Amino acid sequence: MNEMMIGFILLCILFALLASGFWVAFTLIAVSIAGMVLIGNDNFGLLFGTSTWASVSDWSLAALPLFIWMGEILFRSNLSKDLFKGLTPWLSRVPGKLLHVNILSCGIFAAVSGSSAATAATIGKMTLPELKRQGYDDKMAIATLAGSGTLGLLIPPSIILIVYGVAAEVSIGRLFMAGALPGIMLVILFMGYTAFWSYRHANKTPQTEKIYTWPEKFSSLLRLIPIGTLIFFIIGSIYAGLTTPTEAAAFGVVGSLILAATSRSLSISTFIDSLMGAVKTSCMIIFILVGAAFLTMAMGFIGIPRMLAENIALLELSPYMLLFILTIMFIILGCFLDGISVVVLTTSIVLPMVMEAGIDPLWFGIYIVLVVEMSQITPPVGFNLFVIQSLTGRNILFVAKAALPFFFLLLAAVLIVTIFPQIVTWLPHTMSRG
Amino acid sequence: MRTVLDKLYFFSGALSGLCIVAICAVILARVVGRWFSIEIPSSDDFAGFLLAAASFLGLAYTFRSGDHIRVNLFISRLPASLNRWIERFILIIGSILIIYLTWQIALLALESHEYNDLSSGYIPVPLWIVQLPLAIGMVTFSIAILDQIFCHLFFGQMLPKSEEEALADSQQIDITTPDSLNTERQ
Repeated sequence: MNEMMIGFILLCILFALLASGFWVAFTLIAVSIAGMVLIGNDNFGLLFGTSTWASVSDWSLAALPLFIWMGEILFRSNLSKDLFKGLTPWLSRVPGKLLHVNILSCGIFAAVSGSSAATAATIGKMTLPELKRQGYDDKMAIATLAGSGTLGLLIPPSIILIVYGVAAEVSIGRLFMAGALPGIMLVILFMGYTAFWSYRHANKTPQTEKIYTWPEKFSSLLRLIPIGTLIFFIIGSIYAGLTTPTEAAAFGVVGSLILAATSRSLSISTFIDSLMGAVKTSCMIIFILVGAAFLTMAMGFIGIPRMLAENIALLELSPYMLLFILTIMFIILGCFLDGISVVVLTTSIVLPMVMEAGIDPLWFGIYIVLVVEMSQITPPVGFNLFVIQSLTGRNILFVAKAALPFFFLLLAAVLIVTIFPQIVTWLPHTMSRG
Repeated sequence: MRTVLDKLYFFSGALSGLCIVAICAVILARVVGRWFSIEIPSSDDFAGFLLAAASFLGLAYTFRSGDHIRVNLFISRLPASLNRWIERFILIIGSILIIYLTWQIALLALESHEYNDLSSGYIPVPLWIVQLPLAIGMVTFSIAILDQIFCHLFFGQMLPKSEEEALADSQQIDITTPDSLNTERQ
């Protein structure tokens, strides 16, 4: 049986298992075992043991549970309220006003909490009623919430970038730095679009209720200083080479505990809840990584990535053409799978082909996260959409249609980083070490 | 029996949580030690071992909370009885797979014990000791999935929903009344 045939059979097994609701991590392992059986390699049990031990005892992966725990602690603190109250006075003069508060607080909250669905729920519960009360347009309120909940995937510390870094063997510190500028660019794109929209539809945005004085603005700034310091410290210490991402994560946990304690939102029960929440999320992700490591190994034995790389080389596609095809494929895949599963399937199967085409794996990590962000706000799977649907009681198509402009903004961001890859690669190249 | 099992999953999950706390402590000690030019020997190895233990000890707890990701987009649209049969089917395949993997992980630790394998860091540690938590985690995971099959077959208990799915089913917030913000903040 040739590789093409085996690849086809495995693809069928993969989709059959996923569609019947089989756990993603189990599916990756089952497909790997099926592949090894098809090529007649009966050593898979032993190989599973060694590949698993190698992938889970790697200390750079320790950044994952720590950043997740940090997010769980902050998620249970008063952070969302502080962001809302701290940002509102500063944005009251920008066209679109409170809509920008939605974007920025979602962006910051998602960056530190690591879950875009939880972000949409937490921030949405606070901002949606206020936006409604002041008479903002429904569609725009929903769109900014859905769109900016995805920002956390790119802005460091990002869980999905750790997953990509571990699976693709790219430095996590460099990936974080690579994500920073595109993240800021996305925020500018989102805010720019919102300001432009509000300018054009002045009748749909209410007049400022309240003019804030400078003392008021500065006192509100106090609410933003702790979280700002925490993020600045994490990103800055990684950039300056003072700490590795794992060490920065440990400080992040301590910082967020102090932050929660000083805002009197830390109790024994929230501490335990945050820790058990971290256990659940990190076990889930690490087990997927175990499956991915085994799949990568099995694929290597079968030779599918090599075959794909050779065939792509024969086609003599330009890197742009290849990226175009991959983008379409990822958008379709992202409609049915969550982001982490898309990332690990990619690194196991198509990464050799992408590197063969001369694409930088560091850049590719940022590219794939942008595409995953798009899939978060496209139906039918997109937890952001589901969460907002249940919050607002609007039908999912209404929510998806409202979020459509942000889908195109993300697409524009993919285009911009493809034409100007320096936006991604410049910052990591200026790092002192990593 | 029910409470014993639930305690087992929670206890194993709590151990996993303690490992995460320990990882944090080891890494902090490493950095603080560096400030005073004290090298904490093999700290990265120990962080790795703790991570391995944390990842596997929490598997059963995560499974029982429904947090292992699966795509239930298609099967949740099917009629309830068909959905039930598909869940039974994937549970049975899943349990065969997990029991097999448990056996392989146990074998890994057994072989490390047999050949007296040591870790390669500054402080050599017998590998079987640090691989044992993985085997224990997998055994608990196997028990959890068998438990789930039993409950599914005899009590019709469906697979639990994850936190994100629960979030998507959460209550609609009331945004129609002007004073809803005040009630929201209480």
